[in-house]
Amino acid sequence: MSEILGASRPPVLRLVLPCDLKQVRDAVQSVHQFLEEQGCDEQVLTACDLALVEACNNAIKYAPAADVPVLVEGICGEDLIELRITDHTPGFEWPKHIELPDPESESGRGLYLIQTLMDNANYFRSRGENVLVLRKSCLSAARNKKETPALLATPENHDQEIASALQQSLLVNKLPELPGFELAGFSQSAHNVGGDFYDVWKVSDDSALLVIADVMGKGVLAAMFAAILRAVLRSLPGLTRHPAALLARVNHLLFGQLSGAERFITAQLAFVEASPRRMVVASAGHCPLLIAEGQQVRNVSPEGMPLGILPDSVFASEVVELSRHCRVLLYTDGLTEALDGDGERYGQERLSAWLAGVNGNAKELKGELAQKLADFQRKISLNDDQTFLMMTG
Amino acid sequence: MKLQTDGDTLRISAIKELSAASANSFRDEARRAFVDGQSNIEVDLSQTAAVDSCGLGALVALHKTASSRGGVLRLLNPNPAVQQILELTRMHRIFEIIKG
Repeated sequence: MSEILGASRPPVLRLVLPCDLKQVRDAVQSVHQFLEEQGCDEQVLTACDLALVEACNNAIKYAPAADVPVLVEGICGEDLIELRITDHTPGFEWPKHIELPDPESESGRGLYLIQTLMDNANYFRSRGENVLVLRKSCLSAARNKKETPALLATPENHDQEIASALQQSLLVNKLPELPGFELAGFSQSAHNVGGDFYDVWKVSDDSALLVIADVMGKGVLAAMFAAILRAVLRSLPGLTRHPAALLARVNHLLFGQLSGAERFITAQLAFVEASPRRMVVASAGHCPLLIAEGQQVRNVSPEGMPLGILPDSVFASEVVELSRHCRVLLYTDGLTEALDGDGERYGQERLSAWLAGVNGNAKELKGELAQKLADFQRKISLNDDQTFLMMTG
Repeated sequence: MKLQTDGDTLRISAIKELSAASANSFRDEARRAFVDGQSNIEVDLSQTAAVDSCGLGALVALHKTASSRGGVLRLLNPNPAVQQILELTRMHRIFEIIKG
């Protein structure tokens, strides 16, 4: 019923939960035991237990048929636990704001508990299959690991070197020039190696493709998938002008490798044209692109599952006119999930408010935002990669 | 699960868990045992390993049942995990919780 996969990848427990509420407790107990073996502390375990119970209950209660099981996965990264619950319900709209119901209400507390107990919850919907991805940072697991003195030539260090080299190869030295627009990119990774990257390349004299992506997890495998994704994206020039089709193709090509390695990638593509001034945006489960004109900021978030979740995902695209003096921000969730010393998230609202109120070219805005982030999280070490791409026009 | 009648109080104990799988039958059995003349319900949670949002729903239902007869729902000795879910959902302000 369950398996623990190899050691070069983050430890993963995967189990199939029959559509029976009575079996939820055993499944949760298995995940509990797995996380405990990875060194998670009691507080984190209690939170994961309850969030998982609620998520599994929902997946079973709304299942269309009793013979379609729920897939439960626990993934233990270096300092992050990820729980994935794949259901086969018609799915539902994950509410933007979840509040407690009236005290007299006999239901409606499940999602509230999940949201409160976890650091972040993302529900990815697709036809016939949905994935709830829950994340909880688990610094204690990292601490337990750090107590083991690191020797110079450990396999981990060797891996780290390879991953760093791969990541270096992803850094963009110089962004191409696009008439009427300015571009600037920023990327910093937690623990030296991450799976974030951005890329920009010219498609014609007056058009370019902007890419931002976040590979789940860290280490060699994350860096490797980032490198593969970048190469595959660049190898399909016929689709560059059609970001949604490009994402569908790339997902189809990489699905086998990604799902085999328990990874997924969120990505966002924007094909930008200087004349007429507009862009076509497509997203694979990535956080919204922000576009500011004057003091108005709006989210562009076309529908699409992360790469590596389903083999035949379909992606939507959205065409956005680009006025003079617009400011466009593509970013990874490391920005909005950044924490200050009191555990407060930076959040998308703060990011939007900043973008609404700033003036300057892309380079200046990049410097300003990088500084803002550094100030916000000065008391604690970076817990996720932070990458963004700024375009002004 | 054990149900005992004690004057105006229905006492429920030996509950392994209050979860989605058991919440409805727990609520229904308790309501059936809640005979005329009783107004309070006492739920001993000392042996209850886990409560989820459905279990909470059942407790809310019993709270309303008791209130409708002018009584209260009392919870005895929840373990720390159960206490946590009561506090997270702020139900500790609604139910009477007795420890020790």
